[in-house]
Amino acid sequence: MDDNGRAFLEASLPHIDAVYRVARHTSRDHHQAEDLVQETYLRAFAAFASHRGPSTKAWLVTICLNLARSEGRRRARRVVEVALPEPYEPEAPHVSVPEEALANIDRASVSRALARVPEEQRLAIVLMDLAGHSASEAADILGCPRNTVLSRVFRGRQRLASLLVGEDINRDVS
Amino acid sequence: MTCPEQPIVAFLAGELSPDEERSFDDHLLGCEQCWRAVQADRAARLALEQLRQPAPAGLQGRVALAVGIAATEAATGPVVLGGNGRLSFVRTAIAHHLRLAAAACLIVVVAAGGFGWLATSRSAAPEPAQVAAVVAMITPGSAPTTALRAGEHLVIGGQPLVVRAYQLEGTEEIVATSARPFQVPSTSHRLTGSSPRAWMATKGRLSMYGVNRPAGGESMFLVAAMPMAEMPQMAARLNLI
Repeated sequence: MDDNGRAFLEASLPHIDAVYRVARHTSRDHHQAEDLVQETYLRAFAAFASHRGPSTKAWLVTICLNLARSEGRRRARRVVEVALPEPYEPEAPHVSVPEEALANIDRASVSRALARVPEEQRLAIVLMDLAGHSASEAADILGCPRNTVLSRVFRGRQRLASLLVGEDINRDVS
Repeated sequence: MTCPEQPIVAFLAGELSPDEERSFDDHLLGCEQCWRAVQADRAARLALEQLRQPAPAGLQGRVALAVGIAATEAATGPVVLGGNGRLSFVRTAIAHHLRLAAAACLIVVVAAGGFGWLATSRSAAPEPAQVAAVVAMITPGSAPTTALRAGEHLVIGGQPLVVRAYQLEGTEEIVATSARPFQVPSTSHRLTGSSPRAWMATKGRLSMYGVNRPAGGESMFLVAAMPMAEMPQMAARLNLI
């Protein structure tokens, strides 16, 4: 491999965990997620010479999200997602959700519940809570105001907690 | 009554001033709705920590490999077998098993040279992904990476394989092994006369030698910058055949 390839891998591979987390929660399954990560790195390598951004991680994640959206649009074909205004309606569960109530819930349940969180909220959560981006970085990646990101994260977590309470109850019953 | 969202979002993001935070703490004591929202937020964040898992083992190697192939292609053009005159296959018959002495193999190759290359297919069939990957990994003259020396577990084209690098007498050998037979290019010519299916090829300074075994056996594929005639002996030295 030439120096350019080595330089790219040196700069980009440390962020593969974050890129994978983003890919995993914007893909149907881990196979598709791994393909998405590979494609992300190939696209990034092709554009590496022109990469001047301060954050390689944010750059990679942006490429990953764009690819995921392209793939999503390709799959959806005629199904068009329309962003509706988001009036604040408290989504706090009807029952209290103390931290310990969800402390032992398994990863698969969390992943399943997260997949049911509305996409805009899920993406904000994935970027901040899973990929470790700041609200400002997530705002740059998503192309929306920082306060919007914080609001989406808040609402998404509320929805997630509500869904997990259901998961927990279902698990106890089964 | 519904409380506004902004103060609780700012509280949870840690962006309130000390005075505002004290005021919001007081509010929480009397507001069941906001108190539940705070609890739910913290519970969700705790649950989400489970999803902060690392990328699967092998993905880093797969990505590095894909980039390596892309870098190679950027420097030399697409890696394909046949059709472009860059690759020739040896067609010959080997009487028995594959433990060939180098001298004997050299004779076979030389003999094949008279007619074997003439029989090489000119179709432009693409190189199987596994072959392209292993070819792209070899960098004559440079030491193998640590990951390769230890054995990199990869899945290429849906086939699990292990790629290892060796250095014998200053020459690097890249070996791929798999529990499944490797896909052989449609343009290749196999070495007949032995129970395992074996094939040979050359590409520039690189020689390739592969042996496919039936299900249950381990198939292998070796690439090295050395004369073709020495490949079976090298495979034997590496306990591959």
